[in-house]
Amino acid sequence: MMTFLHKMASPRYFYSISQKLSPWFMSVGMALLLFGVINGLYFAPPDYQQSDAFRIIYVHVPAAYISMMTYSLMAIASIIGLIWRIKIAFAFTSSAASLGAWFTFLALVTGSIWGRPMWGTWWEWGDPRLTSELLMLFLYLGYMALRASINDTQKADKLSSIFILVGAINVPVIHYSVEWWSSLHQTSTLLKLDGPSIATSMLIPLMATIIGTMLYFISLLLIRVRAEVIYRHRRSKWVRELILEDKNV
Amino acid sequence: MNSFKELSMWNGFKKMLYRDLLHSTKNLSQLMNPLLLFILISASFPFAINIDENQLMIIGPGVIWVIAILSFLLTLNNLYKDDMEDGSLDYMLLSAQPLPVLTFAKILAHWFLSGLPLVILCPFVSVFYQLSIDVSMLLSLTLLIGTLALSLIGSIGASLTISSQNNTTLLSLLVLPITIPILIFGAKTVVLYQNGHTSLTGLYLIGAYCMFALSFSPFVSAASLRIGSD
Amino acid sequence: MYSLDEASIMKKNQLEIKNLTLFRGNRCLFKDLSFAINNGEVVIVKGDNGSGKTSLLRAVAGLIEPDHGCVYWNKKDITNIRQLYHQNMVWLSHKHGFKGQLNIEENLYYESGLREGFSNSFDETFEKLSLTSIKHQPFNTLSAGQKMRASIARLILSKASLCLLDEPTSNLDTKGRDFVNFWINYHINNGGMCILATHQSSPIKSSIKEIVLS
Repeated sequence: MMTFLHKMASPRYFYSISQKLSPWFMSVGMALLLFGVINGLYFAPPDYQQSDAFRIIYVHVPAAYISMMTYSLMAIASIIGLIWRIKIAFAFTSSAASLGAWFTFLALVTGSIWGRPMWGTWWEWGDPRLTSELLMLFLYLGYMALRASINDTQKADKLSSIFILVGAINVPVIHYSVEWWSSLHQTSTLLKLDGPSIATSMLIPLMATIIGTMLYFISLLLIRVRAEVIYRHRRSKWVRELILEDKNV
Repeated sequence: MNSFKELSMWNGFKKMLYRDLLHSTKNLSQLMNPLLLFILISASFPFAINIDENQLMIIGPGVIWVIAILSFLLTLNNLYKDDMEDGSLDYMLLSAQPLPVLTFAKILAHWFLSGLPLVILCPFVSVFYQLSIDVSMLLSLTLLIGTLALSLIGSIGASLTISSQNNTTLLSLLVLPITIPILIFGAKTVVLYQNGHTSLTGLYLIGAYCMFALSFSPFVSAASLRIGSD
Repeated sequence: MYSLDEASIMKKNQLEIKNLTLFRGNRCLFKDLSFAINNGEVVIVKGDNGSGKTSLLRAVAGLIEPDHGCVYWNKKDITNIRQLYHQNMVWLSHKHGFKGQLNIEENLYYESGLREGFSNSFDETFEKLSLTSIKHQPFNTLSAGQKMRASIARLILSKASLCLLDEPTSNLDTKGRDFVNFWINYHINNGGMCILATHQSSPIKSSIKEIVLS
């Protein structure tokens, strides 16, 4: 495992490996998503409180999980890039940013749509989870703006990584905000010590959509990182050989 | 010399503080402008909104807080940019002092020059919103600690953007989201006090945020300055 | 000026550069550059504008991290002994690094906080550099020559051994240039070291090495 990760640090190896891995992630992810969506929309029983409106959980929860997961991924990649100077980590961070921003936006919008029938409001300013999720969207946008404003790639990498790390405190805040403050959101349903507190027939499609979205996200990320890696190393020999020998790069 | 006697960090700290304060006193107009803006915008707000006294009292703390943050952000841009332009940032980076000592001195000087005046002006501006004296005093207190936290976080933003084009708006975009908790707690404390709650937990939370920022801000600013001057 | 016994420049020091390589974007500014300087030596870096002279000096100073190679001060890597290295080094450039609204005395008072052992004999130094009459004027009202003299005051007062000069004579007249060269020679003759980046010919007579960047 460690040697695998070690080899991944080499852009060239990463490029060839990700070419093989990406279709797998995409296909398994889409299959799971399909299963989860159909199961969730048709076969899962209606909730006793919310009846059919709860089904948006199958979009909202995966999006929210991925938004937090992406930020954590970016934070870890930033640490790896800054401390161990592994340049490909910066490619991961910059590629993950806009994906994370879109998932955050999706989480906010689907949450808002869900909130309207449930809580009677599109938005609730007092709710800590909503505010911190919105904050995370701004952090993503700020990261992208900061990157875009610095001309030198190396400097841009390092400085924007520092920014991500400064904002990283937000992720635990989002997660624990429902426990620390009184919130419209309910507390954790899945990550509890005594097992999830949700009916199995609803749980299975939920897990399927969560994992499916995760795999889908990884495959998208790999595609973007590959493009980023090619661009960053566009002047190196292996890239030129790649373009010359194989027309469909 | 190849041996290093104790380098006095206090010496460096106090001289950096002295220089920044002295430099600003010779440049008073640059100092005054954001404060005048603060007063002006706070005064214009009630004109634009035709609401009665009681409602003004309710929105007052929040509005004053927002305008304070915005006028504060105007001064942040020059924290390190000025030094970069006349070359003294290089000397800061090349000094034998640890750079966080110097950045902390700069942050503190910035707070004295931009934050404290806001705190002093706050009671006067509160008059526009019909806030009673104890409420405006509490508001000033929240601003006192809050502006220190703003200086600390703002310094991180300023150091990250020294080599960027299009500074001011970018700086605001980076700093504002992180300072939203201060805004929330600051305004909320005063509003809760207005509604009769006497426990000042919000104030403690701002203090905690400030202390937390204090623990890493000079170091992060120093690291960003080194990378940015590469 | 200062007691030569206590000045750091009298101790035996050596700066060594090994295999320094720097890329800016895709351009290679210099590759595998190696040289050493000891007390009393000067290295002159020549090249046209944009050839990388300033970058080389900044890399030697520790402001820029080189892509390859190392700078050693008395056999120790400067990234490990940064504070000690900066204590023994002074940087002079045409940007001067003084605050425009403050006068020379206030600026140098601030600089005394940046390192240890900064001399207190401001007045004596101002006498030698003919700065006494202008020491209370704001820095940005001074002429280019006067500004350079203030920078030289920093060099003298800091008692540093290594002096890095980035285009010191670029906007000076002949008198100014002679002045700078005189003080560089003074510094060298007292055991200091110098790296000078310039695109003009420099009549510094001493053990000189030249590096030309293209």
